[in-house]
Amino acid sequence: MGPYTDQSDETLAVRAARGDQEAASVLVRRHSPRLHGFLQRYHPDRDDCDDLLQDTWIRALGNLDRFDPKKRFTTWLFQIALNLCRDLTRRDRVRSGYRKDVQEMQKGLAGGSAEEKVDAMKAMQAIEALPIQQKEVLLLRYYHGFPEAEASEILGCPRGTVKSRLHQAVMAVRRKLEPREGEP
Amino acid sequence: MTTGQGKLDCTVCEERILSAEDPRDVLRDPSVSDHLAACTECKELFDSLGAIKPVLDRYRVREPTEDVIEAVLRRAPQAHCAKPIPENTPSHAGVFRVVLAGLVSLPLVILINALMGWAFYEVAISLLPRTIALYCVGLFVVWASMAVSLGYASLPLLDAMVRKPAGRLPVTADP
Repeated sequence: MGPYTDQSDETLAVRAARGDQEAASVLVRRHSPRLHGFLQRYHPDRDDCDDLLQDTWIRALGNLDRFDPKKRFTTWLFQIALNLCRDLTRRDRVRSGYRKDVQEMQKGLAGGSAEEKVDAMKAMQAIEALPIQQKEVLLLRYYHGFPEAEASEILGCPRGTVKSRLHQAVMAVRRKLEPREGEP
Repeated sequence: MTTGQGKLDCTVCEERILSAEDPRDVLRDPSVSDHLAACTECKELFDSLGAIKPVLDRYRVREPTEDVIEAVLRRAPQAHCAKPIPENTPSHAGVFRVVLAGLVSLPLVILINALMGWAFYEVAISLLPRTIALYCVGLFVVWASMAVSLGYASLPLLDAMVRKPAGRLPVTADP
């Protein structure tokens, strides 16, 4: 990797667009964990998140000449990922039968104690119960730390909408989780 | 959405609440605690997030394996080589074809209009006095010229119609 690891995403993207494989490699290694996390949380019911990750990168790297280096690379990358996820959601509505059951979904969670896994499942189910727009905002803002302005750009909606959807999502998740808090 | 209450913007307050490891930590900042005392919406977010954060934070997912990253990197060079024509870039070849078709068809359009004008003149002169017939032919020439002009002016629209609409990156077609 060498000197490339210190360079900004935007500089690397410009280099990668000119065919610099090392720059592309640094970008892929730098952003894959975050991107993979987003894809898994967006589609916890699918077992092809690795393929989705690959598709996102292939699409991003194949279209790097369209990337505007004045904008943030992560915004652009997550826009592509979000479009892929939305497209899959639309297709899944048409073709059912690709969905994992709860036990299989649990396998996608990172390690931890049984209690942690139970909580993780509760969180997953509460998030899955949200309307898709609220779920998208919660994932981007809470789990992936995108500021309001960037989230608004990724989602293609005004900042006020991002704010209100986040509030609605947090309230809805709280309503879903709180009755279970009294459980032993 | 309230702004500027308690000297802190709601957006800034929200960012602080979201980015804090423990939402209660933000209360140590007087500007945030003042804002929360004044803004019910931010207070509601603070309370709700504080209540659900322990559970939300346990929703961790696995990281991509090295094999997956390697697979992406193996396929990356192919993506670089196969750069598709962006959807919202004007198709210069398409514009060229439309202009060429317009130029080639121009003599034919003029010939057809001249023949129609001549036929119209012959009919008009046999039925009407010469002055009125020439006036009618003149009107015909004016209308025909306008029709031809409008037809050619609409050629760019034809090009725009055959081109795909601009928008987000394609998500269904393979790159």
